[in-house]
Amino acid sequence: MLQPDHGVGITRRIQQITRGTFDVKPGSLFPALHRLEERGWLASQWGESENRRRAKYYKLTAVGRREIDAELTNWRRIVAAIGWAIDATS
Amino acid sequence: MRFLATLFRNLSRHGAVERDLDDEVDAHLELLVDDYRAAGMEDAAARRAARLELGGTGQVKDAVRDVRRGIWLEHFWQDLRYALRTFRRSPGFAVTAVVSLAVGIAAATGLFSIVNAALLHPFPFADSNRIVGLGLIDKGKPRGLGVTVRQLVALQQSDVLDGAFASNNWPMTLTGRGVPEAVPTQEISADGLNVLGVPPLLGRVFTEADGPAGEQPQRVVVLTYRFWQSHFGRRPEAVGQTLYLNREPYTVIGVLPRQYFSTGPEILVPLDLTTKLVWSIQARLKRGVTPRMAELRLQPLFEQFVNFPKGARPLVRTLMEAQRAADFVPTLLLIFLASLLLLLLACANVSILLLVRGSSRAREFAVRAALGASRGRLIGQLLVESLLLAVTGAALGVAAGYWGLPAVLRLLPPGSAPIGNLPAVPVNLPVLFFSAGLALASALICGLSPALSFSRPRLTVTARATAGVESRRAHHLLLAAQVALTVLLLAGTGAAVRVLIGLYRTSLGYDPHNVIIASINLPENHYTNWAERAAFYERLRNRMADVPQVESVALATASGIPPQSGQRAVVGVPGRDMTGDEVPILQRISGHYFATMKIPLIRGRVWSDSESRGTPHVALVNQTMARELWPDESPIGRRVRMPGYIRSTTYYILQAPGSDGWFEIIGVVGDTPNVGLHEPPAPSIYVPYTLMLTDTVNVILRTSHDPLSMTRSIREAVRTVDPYQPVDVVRTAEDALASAGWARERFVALLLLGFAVFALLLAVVGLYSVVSYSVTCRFKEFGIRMALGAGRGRIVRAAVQPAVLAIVAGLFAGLALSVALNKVVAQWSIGHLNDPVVLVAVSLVLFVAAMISAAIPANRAASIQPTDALRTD
Repeated sequence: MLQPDHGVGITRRIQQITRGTFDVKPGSLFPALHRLEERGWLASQWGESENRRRAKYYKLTAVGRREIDAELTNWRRIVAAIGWAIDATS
Repeated sequence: MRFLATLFRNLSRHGAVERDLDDEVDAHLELLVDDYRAAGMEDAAARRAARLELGGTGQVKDAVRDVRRGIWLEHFWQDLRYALRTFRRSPGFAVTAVVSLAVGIAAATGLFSIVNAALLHPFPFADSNRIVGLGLIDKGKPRGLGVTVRQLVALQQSDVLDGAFASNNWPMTLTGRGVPEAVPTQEISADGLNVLGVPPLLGRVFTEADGPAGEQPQRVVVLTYRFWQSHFGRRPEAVGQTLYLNREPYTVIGVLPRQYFSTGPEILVPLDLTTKLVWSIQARLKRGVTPRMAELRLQPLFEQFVNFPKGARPLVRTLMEAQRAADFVPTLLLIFLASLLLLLLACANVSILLLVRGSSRAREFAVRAALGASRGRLIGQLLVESLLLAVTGAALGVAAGYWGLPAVLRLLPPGSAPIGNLPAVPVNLPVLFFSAGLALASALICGLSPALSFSRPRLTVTARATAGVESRRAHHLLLAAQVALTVLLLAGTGAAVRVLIGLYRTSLGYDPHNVIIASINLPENHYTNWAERAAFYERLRNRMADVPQVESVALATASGIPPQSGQRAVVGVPGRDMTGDEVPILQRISGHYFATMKIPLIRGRVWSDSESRGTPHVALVNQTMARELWPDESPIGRRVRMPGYIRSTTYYILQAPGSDGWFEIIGVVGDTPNVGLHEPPAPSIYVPYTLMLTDTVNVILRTSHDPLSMTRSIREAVRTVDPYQPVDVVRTAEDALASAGWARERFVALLLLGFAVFALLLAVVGLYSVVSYSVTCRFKEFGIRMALGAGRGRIVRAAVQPAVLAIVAGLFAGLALSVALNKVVAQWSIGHLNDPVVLVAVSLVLFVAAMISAAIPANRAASIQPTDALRTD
């Protein structure tokens, strides 16, 4: 599911899987990628794109994957809790 | 690890990181173009769409830079270089600000060094808060404790003490090394240095075997660093050498490190524990025992001591407590507070400078904000500027403190302040930390308010290119606050100066000018019978009287220079019962004393030389004593009894033969401030010194020329009488007065005066910059008003009025503050902050200074040419 990809690829992928809800502009994407890389959750490498262009590819690291799992668990708990709260009050 | 690695990469390989970012953004653009092309767009349209999606490449890169680790460091570096450039453009501002802070920080650092040395760490001993002095409180008054050797041993074994020792300071005569010399010596029980925790620097310190109880101590000596330096040039071979002390050979067994005994005794020998009583008992409390606990626990032990007075209780005081009793401490703290106040003033002043400068830089900030600088960046920039000022100021200040402090301390002659080892005050690590803290705090204080107010530039306001009335209000508020604090400082200085003037004006009752005192200490076992000793002293006096330029010579047993006088002595007057403070001060002197000191003889006569050889039992009293005891009649011919004169001879006090303790009063002399320069004179009685010969005597000489130039001839004269007799201290009466209070008050007054002058300068600079800034801002306005017919007087008034109002408001606030704080300060100091003369003088000085500093910019306002003013932008 999460293959190494470059910036444009990541943007398009997000647009695609969120059905156009999230349109991440480079002004937000770049700082986010760099911050995650500095934290060690992503690793980057120059590579070649489908059109044989030089592009920087980002890949999830093992630390990053663990972090995602943790965040996901947390997120699901919150969603579930909010769901219960809404069910209980409506 | 990772954190450090990325930080290191960002900082050290800055160029590569930046190039990589450029490449990445460029590549991203190309990828986007490809993407749009793939979606079927034309080349040009695809490129346009890609550019649109990417947005500004500069902004994207900046956004990335802002999340980088170590970005603050990079910003800091940028800000620093920028600050340096702007300061280079306005050196006048930078120099004024740096010098203001430097002086403020120098003053605070210097005073902190003194406070640190004197109050926080005055004692070099390990765990010095456990070292205590033992005494007792008898009839509500503290007293020294003398114990027998057996009692000392009992104290050493007490379950609240970790050892106890006795000591005794006494000069010993050093011979065999050129001119005989009296060396201040401490006799200390052999384990004393161990109890204090003093290690040897070379050799060893005393052990039990050097001075066992009940036996004569070994002839061994431990040198202080000072003595080792002055007599052995710090040569390690000193250990093992022989010193002739009181003409006995002593072996040097060790040298102490520099920080111990840096004042006082220069050599240490074991205390003789064969004597009946030992004094100056000190001890080390066991861990966890407080002085109060020790007092309770020692009570039963003390009560077993046969010589313990009934109803008395033990007194246990730490070295610090004993010192706190010294009255200089509050004054010192007060000056320290004054120095902090000065620093605060310097900060306020720099704040004003920054505000004024910031107002004129409003345009620059507006432009930077418009270009996307965040508020944080602007605040950061302004704080870096003030930090740069403060750090430079601190560096200069600490340097000035380091080299200037010894000069300031020279104002205080040794011995005048009973606080630790003042001459050895170091600018040390805690002091440096303190200064660094001060620099940071000053940067924040000076920088914060300008930073906050300018970091939110309002473009509309700034577009008009004249700062609003609002920002000027801030300047005036600060100015008023500055003036108020300056008034407080000036009032304090005025008070100190008045105290000093009061002291100089105090009628001394004698003339201290051209008077010099030489102290003679007989070596032990010298002139041991009364007749020999009396003859020696008389020969000495006569020989001194023959020295050229000596007008008159007197001998006195005690100092003889009021306020250092004799001791209280019980005097029995038939029909009168005297107790407590009425007990007169007994002064034992030669008959020439009054003429030498120029103390007037009010009535009666003084005994003559030939009379005193026959040991007459006669006495003179001072006016206070005459008035208190015989208010309505003449004291002459009255007889009084002094029981002290019928005790037996000891090895150091030789009684004249045949005393019955009765004295006849033959004269009345003028009063002298014999208990303190601020105190009214106490009753005093003068008797011939020959009746009781001690082994020390002071020779008081009145000379016709500078008395200090006589030191050599005085020493020569003594040597011709007895080549082995050393001369101890030679000092002038004015020196003695200085250490008795003059020097301290002079120190306080001079220091505060320096502070006050500087504070005044700061106020002047502050006012000048505020007024001249306001004139610059309102240049156009004034031009227009003049073009419309306003007179020059009106313009000047408009330019100066707000600042003058601020000054006046500050002045009144300061006066109110001084009066309000008077009560607080009065508990600590003898000066008064609410002295009307001082306050009026202070107000006048400040007002005149303010007028002068406002006059220059006001004059500029008055000479505005309307045409010029209208032509500027």
